[in-house]
Amino acid sequence: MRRYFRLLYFLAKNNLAREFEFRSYLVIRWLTDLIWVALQLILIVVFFSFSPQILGWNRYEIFMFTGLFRVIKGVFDTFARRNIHYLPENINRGDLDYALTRPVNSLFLMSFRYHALGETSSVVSGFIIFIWAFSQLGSGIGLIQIVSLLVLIITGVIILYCLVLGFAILSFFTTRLTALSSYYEVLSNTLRFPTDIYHRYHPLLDVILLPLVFAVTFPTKIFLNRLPAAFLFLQILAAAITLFLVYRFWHFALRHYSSASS
Amino acid sequence: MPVIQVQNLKKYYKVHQKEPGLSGSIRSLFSRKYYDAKAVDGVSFDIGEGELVGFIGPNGAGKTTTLKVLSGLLYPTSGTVSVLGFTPWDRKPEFQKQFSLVMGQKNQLWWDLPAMESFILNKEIYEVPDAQFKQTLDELVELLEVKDFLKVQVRKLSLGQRMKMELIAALIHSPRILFLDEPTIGLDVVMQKKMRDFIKEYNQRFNSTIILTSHYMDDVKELCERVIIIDKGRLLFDGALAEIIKKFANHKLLTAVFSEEVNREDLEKIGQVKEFDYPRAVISVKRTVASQAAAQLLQNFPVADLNIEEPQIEDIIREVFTGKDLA
Ligand SMILES: Nc1ncnc2c1ncn2[C@@H]1O[C@H](COP(=O)(O)OP(=O)(O)OP(=O)(O)O)[C@@H](O)[C@H]1O
Ligand SMILES: [Mg+2]
Repeated sequence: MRRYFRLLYFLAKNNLAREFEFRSYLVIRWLTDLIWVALQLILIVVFFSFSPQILGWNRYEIFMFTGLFRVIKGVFDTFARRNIHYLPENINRGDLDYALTRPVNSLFLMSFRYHALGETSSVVSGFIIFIWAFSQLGSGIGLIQIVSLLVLIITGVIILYCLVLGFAILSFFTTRLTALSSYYEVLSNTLRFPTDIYHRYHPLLDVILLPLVFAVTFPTKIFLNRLPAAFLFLQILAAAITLFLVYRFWHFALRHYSSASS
Repeated sequence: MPVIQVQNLKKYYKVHQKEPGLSGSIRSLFSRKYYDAKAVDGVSFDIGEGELVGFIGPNGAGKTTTLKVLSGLLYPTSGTVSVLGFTPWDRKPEFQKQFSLVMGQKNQLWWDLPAMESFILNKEIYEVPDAQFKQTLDELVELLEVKDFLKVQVRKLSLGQRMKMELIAALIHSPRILFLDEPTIGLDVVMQKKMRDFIKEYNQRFNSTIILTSHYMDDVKELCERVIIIDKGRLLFDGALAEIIKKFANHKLLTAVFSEEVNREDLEKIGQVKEFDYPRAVISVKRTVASQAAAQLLQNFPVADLNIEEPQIEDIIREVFTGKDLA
């Protein structure tokens, strides 16, 4: 475990050196993100000008939800998104070859090789929104809450990672998987709002959306004590099980890896 | 005790057959036809510690596929493989720390960074102790003469410089076994020679076991005492380089220099005339009758000088590859 953190540190170092060459891109990314955040927040304010509560969420709780969503998605986008985005192409072109010869878990290497530092803007702004909204609610924060927040973020990231990765792994079985980016688009747009808004339509929809509740909705609700404390363990369990399943899926799929000629 | 044991290895790729054109694409949506591409089809060999073996064969013979199975990238269709006592595709870290795969056509270095950063990352990945890392690096950098390029971004290096860096990255954990798949591809003759010298030196200094594929016969001639030839996934030959001549060359070459004009047709009676450019002629004759043919030639023609030679190894191998009859 420590070894993998160390590796992540060295990977981050390399990525930092690499991205430093594209400084202007970083600045632009941060600026556009800022505008994007502002628009989202304004939208929320507008919604809540009609009603103090929407589906049981008040304005600050939704701000906190949005903040947490940005943090979780931001962490994923920073460390893993680019790698998973290219995974189908890597599989198709046989670019897993070197990763598979390394005495390190191949899924780790393929998932966290390249980082996108521009995406950290979303983590930072998300945190600021979250903390600010939380302070508006007027309840104090203790050590337990900080720890559980950390756990909730990590498990949320794991769930999101697994949801995207699980889909990307399908490309071991098809020659082309072009649907990955639109899948991610739909997924992240769905996660942008509490899953409560979908619950009333059809039981089938609830089943489909079940894994999604663990990404952001449950973490926010658990932190807000709107769910019993036991749900924290359910959350951890859900993340562990999903990660285990996707991990197994990866190793199963590797049997279908045929590299590429030359 | 061999460090690499391969028994009846087969690797068939499942290839999805696609008919050309749109209608073909639509049809293949409904019924996919697969066929097996027999890349490796029953190959067996053993390799001992410290050997430097040349692995040759024409394009598509199955060399790269074999190396990929030995590296554990691919699961074989059937057969058993043991490398250092491990089954490669179990991908045990203890195994992976002891070998390296270098593919001349692929790069593992970080493109936008100096090669040094990739070495450091590999040091972490392979858990190489600091002192050992420093010593190995110094040694390799000196052998390959790349001191000045360590801090240059990889994308700014020439192909030859980059290939040297690729080698360092692959050797930084001091592997006992090295799979080199066309390490000299695309290099100029001077650089090829340097690479060869390095590989030879490395093999001798560290007693590492090396399998090398190359389409340049010079690589094989200069480096490998033992050669394995495969074609269409099957083993054609496994033995000393010199043995290839004995096994495949059932002819010899008579080179004659004449003092007077001779008739080409008359020469054809002695053997196959390969070259005829007065006053010199090269005639290929069956090994078994080589001396009789030489005597005949001396008797019936105005010969000023005569040589009996083995054919060039390049020629034999080319003929083996093209599947020609070697008369
Ligand atoms: N990933 C793959 N999927 C399907 N067929 C493949 C794949 N890789 C290789 N093949 C086929 O298997 C055969 C052997 O290929 P391989 O790359 O092992 O040959 P090689 O001896 O390395 O050739 P070269 O000298 O051209 O590199 C070829 O016919 C090739 O088309
Ligand atoms: Mg090859």
